[in-house]
Amino acid sequence: MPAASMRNVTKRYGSILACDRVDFTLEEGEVHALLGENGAGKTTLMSILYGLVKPDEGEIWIWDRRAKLRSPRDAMKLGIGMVHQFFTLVDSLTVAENLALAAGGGLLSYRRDAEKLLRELGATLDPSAYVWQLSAGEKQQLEILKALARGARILILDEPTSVLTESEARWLFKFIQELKSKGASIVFVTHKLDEALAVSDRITVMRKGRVVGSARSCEVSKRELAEMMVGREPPKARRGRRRIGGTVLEVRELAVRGDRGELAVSGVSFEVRAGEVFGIAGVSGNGQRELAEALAGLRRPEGGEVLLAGRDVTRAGVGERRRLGLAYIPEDRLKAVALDLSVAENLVLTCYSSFCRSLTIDYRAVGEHARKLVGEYGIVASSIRAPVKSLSGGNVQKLVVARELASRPKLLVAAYPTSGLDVAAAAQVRGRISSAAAQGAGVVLISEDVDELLEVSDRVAVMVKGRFTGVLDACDASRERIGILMGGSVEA
Amino acid sequence: MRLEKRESTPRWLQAAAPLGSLCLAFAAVSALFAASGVSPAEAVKVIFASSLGSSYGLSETVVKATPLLLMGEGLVLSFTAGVWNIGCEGQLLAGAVAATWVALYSGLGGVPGLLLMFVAGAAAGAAWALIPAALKAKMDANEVIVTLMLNYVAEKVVEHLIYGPWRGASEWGFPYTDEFPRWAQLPTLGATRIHIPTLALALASVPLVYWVLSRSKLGFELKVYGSSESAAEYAGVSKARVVLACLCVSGMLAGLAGVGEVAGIHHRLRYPRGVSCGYGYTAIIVAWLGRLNPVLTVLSALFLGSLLVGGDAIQVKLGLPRGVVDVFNGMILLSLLVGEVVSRYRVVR
Repeated sequence: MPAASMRNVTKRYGSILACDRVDFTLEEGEVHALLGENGAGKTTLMSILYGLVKPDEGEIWIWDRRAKLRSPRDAMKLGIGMVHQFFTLVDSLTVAENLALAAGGGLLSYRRDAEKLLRELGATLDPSAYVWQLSAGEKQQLEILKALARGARILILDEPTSVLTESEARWLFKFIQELKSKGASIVFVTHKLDEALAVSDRITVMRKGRVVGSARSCEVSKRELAEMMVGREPPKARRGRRRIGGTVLEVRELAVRGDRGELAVSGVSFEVRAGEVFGIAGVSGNGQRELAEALAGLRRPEGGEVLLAGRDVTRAGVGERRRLGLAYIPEDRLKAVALDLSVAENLVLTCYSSFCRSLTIDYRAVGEHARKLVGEYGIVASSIRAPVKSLSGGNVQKLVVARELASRPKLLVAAYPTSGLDVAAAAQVRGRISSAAAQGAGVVLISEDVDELLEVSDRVAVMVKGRFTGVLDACDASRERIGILMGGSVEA
Repeated sequence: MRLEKRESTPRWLQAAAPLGSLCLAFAAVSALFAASGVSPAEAVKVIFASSLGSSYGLSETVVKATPLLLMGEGLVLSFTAGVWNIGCEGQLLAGAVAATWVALYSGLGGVPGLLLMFVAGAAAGAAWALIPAALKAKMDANEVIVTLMLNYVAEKVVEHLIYGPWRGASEWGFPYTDEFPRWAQLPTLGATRIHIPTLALALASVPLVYWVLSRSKLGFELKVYGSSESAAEYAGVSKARVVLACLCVSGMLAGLAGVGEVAGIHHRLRYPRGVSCGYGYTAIIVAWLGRLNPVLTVLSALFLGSLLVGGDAIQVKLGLPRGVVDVFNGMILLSLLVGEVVSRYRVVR
């Protein structure tokens, strides 16, 4: 009997299909990996199973009964628990107290209850330890225990290793096997091939909102999975070669620390020439954000050098780099706009100095600039004076792209510039980036979409765990080679 | 039924929210009046009849509104950038101390002395605000805490001066400095207590702040920083520049207000609560009630000025404690903040 089965589930966000007629079955007592790139629809699908998101169509059956999930509370009643990527623990309380908070329990007996639960599940946590004393791996274990204490028999783990070190992850896998042997049915959501193979009995692969395949873990190879993840349609016709000029960006042995102090980028070197698009492929979270921020001047590098138009800008701030011709489209577009300010003001956010006459800003020129760009890029806004927070996500993205390209940059750093855009808008943005390169800009394009990279780039580097595992010429880069490199194998 | 965030607040609600908040505050204070055995209608009548119903009352309202407007304008600037200066009270006292020094100890006189008094007062207010500004810019110290705490430091400095080195010889042992010489007493409008130079400065600050926010490059940077610190960083707006500008300008205006109080009203430095009666805190409400709009802030300064005058009146006429006005002010701020949040949400079934 399947523990849970989802039939023909569809979820739309505006014009984007997050889940497209998805069938997914979790058998009792299995560990089932749900594999796919970011944005493939894995988290949406699991949020539907947990009652966080309402599907537009489709049915959900739990233990052979049709289930109506209006909220996570309904899901919990049916024995479904979900552990999210980030912790929801109270740091200043103990392990036992956190468990009691999640599951309720007697005022006097909760410590004994916690000890009993920990013993039964073979967990190694000390019930009287404070959460702030725990390692990330132990916290993850406690999150799982919280779900179990609420009575979950179906567990959804959403990217549980994203905040863990490798040894903590291995330790977590052992714990997952332990839970399986106690009868829990587990969905393990991940974008990492190795993890899926290591932990699961069965693997289902999602791409662009659809299930593309499902296989028993012992019967499938890493290569087959990589192909399923990134697809194998023939690449589109390449655009003609652009004229390549002098070097605009030179990066030598760059090392950058992430927010948690870990070395997110370790020793990356590359060059970008004028008129060239240098693509960086890889599953996000492998140091791309830190690399982009270090190039933009928003994150101090730990070591190495960055040369922009021949000048050493390793220690320079954003302003100085922009004056040298940098434009930057960040991964998080909400960081690139001031939401309370108008469309017109946001369109000069990064170049307002050039609209200044001594102490004042020439708002008439700002308005003309805005009207021109709004028309050119088809930004949908009620007026150029409307605050940016009234715009849809896609239009905010268009606004950022319009502004950054309008400055006629020498170097454009674009991180996931088409994420969240519909097909037509994404194609438009890709076209704009291509033509910026044709006009002589050097472009660093960070993306997870292999099609996009192959379409626009001249060279593609693959980034895994803060390093380049290979740099391929776009002419002889195939999706398969990129897929294998993304999975972590190093190009010989 | 649940709350859902609105994408944008409709215009009518933007106007209705602060008015509704005021009504809410009035309702709460009415309950307080009723509980103290005074008819709320009677109390409200006394408040506004005393402050707005006679030419004397009106002039007193302007007297109270003058420092409120000066500081309110500075706070409009500062709050727009999301720099929370809660230290106007201390900055006002710093300005008052500097003015007192010029008046009693500089040896100057006449118009140069008067000018130096304002310059020194503005500089002292700005310098007092520079401390939290530097700490925030350099070490990311929370400006709310630092500015607030420096208010108490400023009070202690004033107390030290009036009980110690500056205690006046002619004041029979009261903790006052000597009276300012004639040249250091600001000219007033007719027989009222309205001190003209300070009022002129306060009125001049309105178009100035309006211009800074709507036209200037600095104003653009303040708005960007206030909207999102990360967007400001991304756009290359200097955090240090924004923080220093906001705190220095609002500190400067508070310093000027301090000059006005000692040179225009009291003609001496006296006990801190006597110099200011909490203007620095009330100015926060002035700026919020004015919706951080420099022009509307004129109205809110007058309104809160009238409440202060009315507060004195209900003390005398109805025997209620002065604290009622503080409760009133607190209720206004609280309901304004609630109104602010509520207007950003709507109720969905």
